[in-house]
Amino acid sequence: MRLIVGSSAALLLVLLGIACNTVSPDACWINTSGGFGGSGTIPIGAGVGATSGDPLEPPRGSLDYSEAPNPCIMPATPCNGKCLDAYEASAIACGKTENEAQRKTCSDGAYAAYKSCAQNCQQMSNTCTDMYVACTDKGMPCTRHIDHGNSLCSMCREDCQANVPYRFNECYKCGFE
Amino acid sequence: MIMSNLRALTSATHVTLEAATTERISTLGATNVVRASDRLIIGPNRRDALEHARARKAWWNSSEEWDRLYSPEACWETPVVVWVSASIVERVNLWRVCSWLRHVGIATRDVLVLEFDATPRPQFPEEPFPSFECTASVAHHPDKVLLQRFARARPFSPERYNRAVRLWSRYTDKDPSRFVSSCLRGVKGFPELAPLWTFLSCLFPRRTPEGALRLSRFDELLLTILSEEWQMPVDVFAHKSQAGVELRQLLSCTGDGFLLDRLDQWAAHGSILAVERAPGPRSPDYPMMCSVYRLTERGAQLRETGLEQLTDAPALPVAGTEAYASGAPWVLLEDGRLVRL
Repeated sequence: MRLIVGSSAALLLVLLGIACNTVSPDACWINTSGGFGGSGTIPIGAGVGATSGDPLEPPRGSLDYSEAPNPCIMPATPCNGKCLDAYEASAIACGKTENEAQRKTCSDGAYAAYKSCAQNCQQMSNTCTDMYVACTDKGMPCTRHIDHGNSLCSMCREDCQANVPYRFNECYKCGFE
Repeated sequence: MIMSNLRALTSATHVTLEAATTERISTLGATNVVRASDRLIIGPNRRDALEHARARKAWWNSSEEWDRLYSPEACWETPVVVWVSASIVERVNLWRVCSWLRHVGIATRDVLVLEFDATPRPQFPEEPFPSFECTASVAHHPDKVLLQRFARARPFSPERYNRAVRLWSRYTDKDPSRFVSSCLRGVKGFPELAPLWTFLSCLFPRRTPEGALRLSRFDELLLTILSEEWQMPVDVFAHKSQAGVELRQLLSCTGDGFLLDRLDQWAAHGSILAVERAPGPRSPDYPMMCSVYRLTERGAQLRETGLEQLTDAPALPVAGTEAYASGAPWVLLEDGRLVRL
């Protein structure tokens, strides 16, 4: 099962990579009808972030232009990354739908969700470290130590950075989202 | 199956190495939980338990009893189940727990060690993760996984248990050279050693191939971020620079409290101060904002040209020894070895 999902994801990335080479410079979205899953809209940046685990590394392969910068390459922020991850998962699930009409509806829905998610990312620029700063500004009980040498704010930041559920519900009250 | 698990859970003694794990294990139904949480990768460590407890209490300067491993009230009903994550902070604590349980006469076969891998790191991290793991937690895993692992709990082999005890003995040795050798060489069953040394080595002063003495990497980062402008510790912590990123990686192991401690140590060290301290804008309820610090000319000089002698920087207890101490003149070489000056 994992192999199938992995293969589908790889196929998706290849298709996205090919798709991105064909995009016009002013368009950051491309309709891939007839491509992956037969229909739907795929964000161009999906293949970019997914090919590199390190956001500091430049995109490689077919997207690694040495001339004019590709307008579609969005910075792989953690927030955008989450949107892309969710989109990729949805796209894979949609691709498994046999009925073409349902597949299109599914893909359009996934795209709409991605777009909304990406827009939220643009509006929300709070990093985990920003939230840590806000937490320390709230004073007690947020600033209390939970373990020797480590404050609740610090633990919340650790979980935020690791993108795992907060170990302490109080993180939400202390400025973490 | 679940009922028998729960019965086994309630009858065992559970050792937890972190606050959140303590809460989770208790929520699962464990009643006899011994919390043994302490960040042993920073501050003094002693082989003798009493001496160790005394040194740690003085180091933290706190009345909190988060580390109850040596408590006379601990009731060591067997089996003893030790819940440990992949964090190097907890792994060092695991060695100590193994050593202590042997000391109180608990057989190796009665100590079940539940080791949990770190959860996968995000594909798009906000900041790069360090090569050492310090933020993994047993509490990051769902209840189902915890119970499944508990059902399959096994003791360490006698050989592996012995190695854990030996590692604690070496870690607490005043002479760190054998411990460092273990880290560089590796010890079967203890993959944490190499990343642990990557972290610990950042706390020792360095000697260049030309023989010059330099600050530890940690202090270099600290004194790089500090400037002649007054800054609150939170400004230092959140500094938007490569040095800031690296400092935060190290603080993920020590805890953010160590930033305050180290700043205060610098601000109280020497006849010519390298770091000055003044009251900050907030009350002590805001520990990261209640003082401000700035770098002096002396501090800039130490950062740029290095140390004339080890004691130019405030001493820092690490493992069983002390960095920057005249009585323990250990310096880090470029190849990662620790040698006497």
